Amino acid sequence: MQKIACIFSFKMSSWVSCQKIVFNLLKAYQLNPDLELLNFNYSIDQYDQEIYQLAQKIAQSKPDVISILDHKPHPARLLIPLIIELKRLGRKPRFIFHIFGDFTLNYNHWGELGKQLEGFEVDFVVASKRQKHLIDKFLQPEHESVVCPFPVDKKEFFYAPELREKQRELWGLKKDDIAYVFCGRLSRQKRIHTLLKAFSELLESTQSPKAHLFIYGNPDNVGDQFLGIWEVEGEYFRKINRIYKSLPLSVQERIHFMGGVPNAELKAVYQGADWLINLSVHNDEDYGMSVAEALCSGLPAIITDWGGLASFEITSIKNATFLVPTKIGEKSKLINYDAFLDFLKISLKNSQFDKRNDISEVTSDQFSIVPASKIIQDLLGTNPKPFSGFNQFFEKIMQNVTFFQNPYITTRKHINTTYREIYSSYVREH
Amino acid sequence: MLENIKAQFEKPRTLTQSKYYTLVRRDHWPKFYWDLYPLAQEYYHELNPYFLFNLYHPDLFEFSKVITVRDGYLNFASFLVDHAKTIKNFTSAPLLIHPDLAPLVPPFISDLFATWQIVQKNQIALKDAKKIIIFGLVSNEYLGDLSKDDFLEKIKLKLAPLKEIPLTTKIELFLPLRKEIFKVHQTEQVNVYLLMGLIKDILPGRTFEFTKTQILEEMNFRDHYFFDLGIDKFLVSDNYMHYFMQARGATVNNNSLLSPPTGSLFSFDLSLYHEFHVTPLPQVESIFSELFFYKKMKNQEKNLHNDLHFQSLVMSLLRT
Repeated sequence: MQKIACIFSFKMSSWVSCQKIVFNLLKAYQLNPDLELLNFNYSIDQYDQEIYQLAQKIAQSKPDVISILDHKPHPARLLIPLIIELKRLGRKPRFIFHIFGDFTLNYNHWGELGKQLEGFEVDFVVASKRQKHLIDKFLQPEHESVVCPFPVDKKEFFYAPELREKQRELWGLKKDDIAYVFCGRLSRQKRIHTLLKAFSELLESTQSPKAHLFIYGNPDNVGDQFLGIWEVEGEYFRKINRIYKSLPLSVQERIHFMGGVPNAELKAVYQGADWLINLSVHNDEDYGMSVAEALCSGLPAIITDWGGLASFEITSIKNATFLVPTKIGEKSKLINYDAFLDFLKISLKNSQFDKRNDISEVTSDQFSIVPASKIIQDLLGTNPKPFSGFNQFFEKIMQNVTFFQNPYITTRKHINTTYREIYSSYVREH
Repeated sequence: MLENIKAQFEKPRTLTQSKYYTLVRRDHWPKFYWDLYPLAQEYYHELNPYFLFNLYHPDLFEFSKVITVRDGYLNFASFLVDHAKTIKNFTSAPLLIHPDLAPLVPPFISDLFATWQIVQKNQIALKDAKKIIIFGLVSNEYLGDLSKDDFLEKIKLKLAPLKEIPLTTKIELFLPLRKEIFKVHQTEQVNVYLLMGLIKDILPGRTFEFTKTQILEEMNFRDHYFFDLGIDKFLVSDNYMHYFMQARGATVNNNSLLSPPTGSLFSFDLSLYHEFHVTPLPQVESIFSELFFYKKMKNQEKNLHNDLHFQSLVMSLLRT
């Protein structure tokens, strides 16, 4: 029996999807009866002394494996004193890092930690193939990362047609109306402004009386800082509100801003809806938990062919997913607007209602807790080579990030080669 | 005035827009601004929400066609006694103020002013909240001096509605400790102990969670009630914490209106949950002459916000 120290924050993350990811990952570990799990709280509000004591406690528990399930706070603050303590005790457990989308925001922390990890067995577990492509760029060839999708809990998100009617009644929809939903932060990199414009164009070009768009979530001020776009609180909301108010009244009536809702309410939302839309070109889009949950609920999706979202493409069921092409343009990440509009038009005529059970099954087979548990089990059966640090490309990027205020754009605010070298992994032809 | 507001709204150019971030020298701002965290964080809307004390150069007054004033009683009073007679020389921008600041406006420049009001159509009652966040900047300037009976009574009264909340309601405390922001010499304060004692007396046997500024990373406060213990607008009239909470769905005990005010001249959405309305300056008796008289007697050129007696005068005139 292997003893696993699971490190995560017992406090909820401000990123709702990350809260769920951590607990579902833990469930994936718990499914394996051959593992003895020890849970340790590592959260943002702990003081240095508490962290030092935590490091001692973990080391004294003599784990075979130390698994970092969370992304915040960065593990370096805990693991550096922990490694010192482990060395003092003459112990050498294996480290498993479940990598989140914010890896590329924390080069300095990872660089510092990487040096300390040299000589230990280390695994980097990522959530999607494109994230693997990106992370492997920073690793030595003998240390490829492993893909383990962030799992969805099938007990929470599954095909439940009985919820549909009530939800649609709540929305005030008729039986043959088509409901599109977006769930997530209303964020510049999630292209809510493009969604509003395209939906309006769809209504005007088709004159369809059926389509409605329900937008769940609250605006943020993340901007697109890598590309030199910073936002102050309220700025993105005012941008999308101005777009919304500029639309004809008949279009405004079909766009419904629902605000933030508890995760539990989304179960019914996914059942009541006909299509999920997610146009994210976010730098941190290593996966897409809301897309995974919607698909596990049987909801077909129109999503961008970007980063982790591309992993949700369902090829075995016709028109279950539409992937909107993306590319890294001169100054911005670009979405193929015409293709998106075409997908909207096709989706308006194809509700895919009869295929929802199949969509749910196909997706759950791939993205739920059981397959994730199997991947972790297989991983634990392997023997990785001792970690020899991050590679030269990582060092180069870390230097750029350390020494340049805007490491990813030129003085003319064009996207530079550093950004392309990293994020080319997120587009189809990488 | 309305033309200016409409023109500004149509072609917004404001000091908090990220594209103009580097245009403002924040190192020129008064040091006390940083002590006001998190009440004074910057945010954006088209009518240029800003602190007058941060407009360190006359050109900045003309940067936008409108300024939504965020200053509290003290700084607004200090600004007016310094600039009331000359303000029209360096700006024609309408100044939108909170109605509570209206008594400070000198009648001879009242045409420069209008007021702003917040409307939040869907508010919840305290008893219906799933979680109540009790907030207060623990300083005399925000809560009053709790070692004095009259202020203690005020906070007791303020806390009294919490007696009625159900046992199932979660309670979180966000009580950042601050020195007296505008005092030159600091004295030892026991406010935090007294305040905790009061909260425990009002809510006996209850479990509290404490939060710190990580609360500012959270996204959704629907079904939450933000219970601000601030006794007035001495420090700020436009509190960022209120904006932040309302923009994420919380109800705040800041007298936000449930429906648009009569006489609303102009309005827009501040968030999915709350609106900003411009209304005419209310007809109230001005106390400006008393403040100006003090300045003349004192014969002090500027920075009256640092003057202990001026602070006391503003408090006594506006703190009822």
